[in-house]
Amino acid sequence: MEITVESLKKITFFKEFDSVTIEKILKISELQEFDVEEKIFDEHQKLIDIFVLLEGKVILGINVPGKGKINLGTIHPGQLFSWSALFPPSISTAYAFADVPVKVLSIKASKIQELVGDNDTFGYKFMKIIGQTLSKRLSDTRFQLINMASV
Amino acid sequence: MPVTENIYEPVKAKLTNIIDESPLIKTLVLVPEKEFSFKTGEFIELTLNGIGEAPFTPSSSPLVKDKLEITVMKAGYVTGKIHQLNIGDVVGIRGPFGKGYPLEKFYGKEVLIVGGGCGFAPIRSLLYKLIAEKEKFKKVIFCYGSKTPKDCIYKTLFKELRNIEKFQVLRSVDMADEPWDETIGVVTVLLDQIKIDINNSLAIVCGPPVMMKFGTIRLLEMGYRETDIYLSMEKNMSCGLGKCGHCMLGDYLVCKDGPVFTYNEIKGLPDIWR
Repeated sequence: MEITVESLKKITFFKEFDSVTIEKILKISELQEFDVEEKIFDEHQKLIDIFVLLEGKVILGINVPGKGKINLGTIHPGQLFSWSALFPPSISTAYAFADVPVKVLSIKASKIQELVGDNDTFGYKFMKIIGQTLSKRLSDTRFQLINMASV
Repeated sequence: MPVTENIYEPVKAKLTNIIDESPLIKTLVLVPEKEFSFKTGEFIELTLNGIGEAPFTPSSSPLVKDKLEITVMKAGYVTGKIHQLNIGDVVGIRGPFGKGYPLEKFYGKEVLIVGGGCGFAPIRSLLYKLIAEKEKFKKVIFCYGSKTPKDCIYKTLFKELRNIEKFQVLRSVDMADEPWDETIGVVTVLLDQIKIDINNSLAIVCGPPVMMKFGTIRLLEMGYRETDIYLSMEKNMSCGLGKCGHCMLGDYLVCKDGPVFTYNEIKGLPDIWR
């Protein structure tokens, strides 16, 4: 699978960025593949990359004392995960594994932080996407929490 | 239009089958003594002699006149007694009451249905009608969420729906405590996966109040107009006629003016999500 600026433009996460910016992101990224049920990262693990899912499906979950692993979320192509890498202490809040064969674009968090610092316009757009992702994730989690509390 | 002259008089109906949908939900197949017609979205009162009544929106096709299916979640005294019924028992049904879905407004549009839990019951009836008239709609997208895979009802219907042209079906569970190959997360996360022309679309939301609230908020964020979001406000209905006042929602009586409302009609009213 060849990753090009044009192919990334079709991915939801990159839609707000121009070609020059995507090219810069591409330079600090690498394509990674995971097999079915392969761990991408663990809960409470130090994270150094953020991921954009290109193909496949990723499951997020947490270990619940007394209940074991509980899968709580699905990541679909175009969505971002491992956002914790961007914010100190950069510790994952969930585990992630490939539900089917998966291709992800892994972006070095430290490098993206440099890009954000160097370019205010990119920095604003990028952090806006991160903010929107987190806001939605928070809203969904509240909904999920209320649902589960009513079991 | 109620099938008996006396609006309080139930029609006898024989219970011919009971389907276990989930640990807490059963579907009763009833054969009424008289032909019983309803429009999708209208509701009936199910009467148990000496026990009480409860309102339900039929989950069967409105095109079928000789039998009726009611899906019941065990949630209280009357529904608990309904769950104890056996095949061959006789119950009463009154109705149909209320106003159903204004289907003519959906013609030519993309229809998005967001459902959760037992809210699938009225939706199933609506889906049967949409299937029967599928040439009149551009497409139908059905997003359904349940708490766990075990709580997902009408499991066999999903396969059928996925084989119907113009129909797209997405499912989620809040928590996958057993193998599950669809989405994990609340039903609103499914809305990120769909492609829909919001300006030529109507949305229908039916489910528990929490789901209705979060679902409506997400639809508004997506750009749906308040007049294009239809909510099935099936709650507090008692006599079925709007006479007891139990179903009052602001100036509306849910039994008479609903249970289907647009968000625009009820948005300012207190406690709509209670």
